[in-house]
Amino acid sequence: MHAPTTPVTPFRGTALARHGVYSLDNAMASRCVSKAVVQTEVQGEYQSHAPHIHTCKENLPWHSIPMPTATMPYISPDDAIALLTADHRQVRALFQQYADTPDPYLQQIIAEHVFAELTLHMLLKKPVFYPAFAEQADEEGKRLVREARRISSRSRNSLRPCKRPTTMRCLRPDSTR
Amino acid sequence: MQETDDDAVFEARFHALRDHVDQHVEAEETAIFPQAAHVLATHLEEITVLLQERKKQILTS
Repeated sequence: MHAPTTPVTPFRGTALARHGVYSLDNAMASRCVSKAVVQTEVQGEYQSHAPHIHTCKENLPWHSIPMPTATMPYISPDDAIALLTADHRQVRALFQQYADTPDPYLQQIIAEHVFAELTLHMLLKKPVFYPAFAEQADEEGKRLVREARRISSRSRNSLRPCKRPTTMRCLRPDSTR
Repeated sequence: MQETDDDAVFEARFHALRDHVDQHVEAEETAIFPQAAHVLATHLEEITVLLQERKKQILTS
């Protein structure tokens, strides 16, 4: 299935947009979408939960990453831990693609995907998964959650004062709640 | 010149972000998830539904 060729502004008016994710202009989005082919790849034992964001094996090039739209089909693994693990795989694949891309313009697009993935991941994990786990876990588990929260705060802080304001907004601490 | 400096700053910060994410993924997948699979066993289905609903809500609301 080929992606639509009409310009789109992903997530306009959605909760993610309100978190500053995907404020790409139409030209940028159009360039990305025109090259994107929406694929449904099987990743490991489960299907990608976010084909509307991208489905990628570790070695797929950036242009196989479709821009997300709210109307694309929603597929999710049926296990919370598989879902969160799939997020990890996808964001790591994006980091690798960023590193493999010499074009700064494309890097910007990939970086936007990274910020969208991380923001979505945090919005899911912080209010749902961590509290549920901390409630049931022993002291060691509670400590691990505190540590994980600390690392994710540092992740946001590492990008805050950056020259690309549209990519920065989504990582400000006040926008991830 | 200013732009080059800013690019270098962004590169450094993006690289740091990658390191933090790698660290976070490693910690969660080796320590938290295995324990979570154990202690949340009876609640996992409920949490999964919550996660899926919230995700759908974030992406479509």
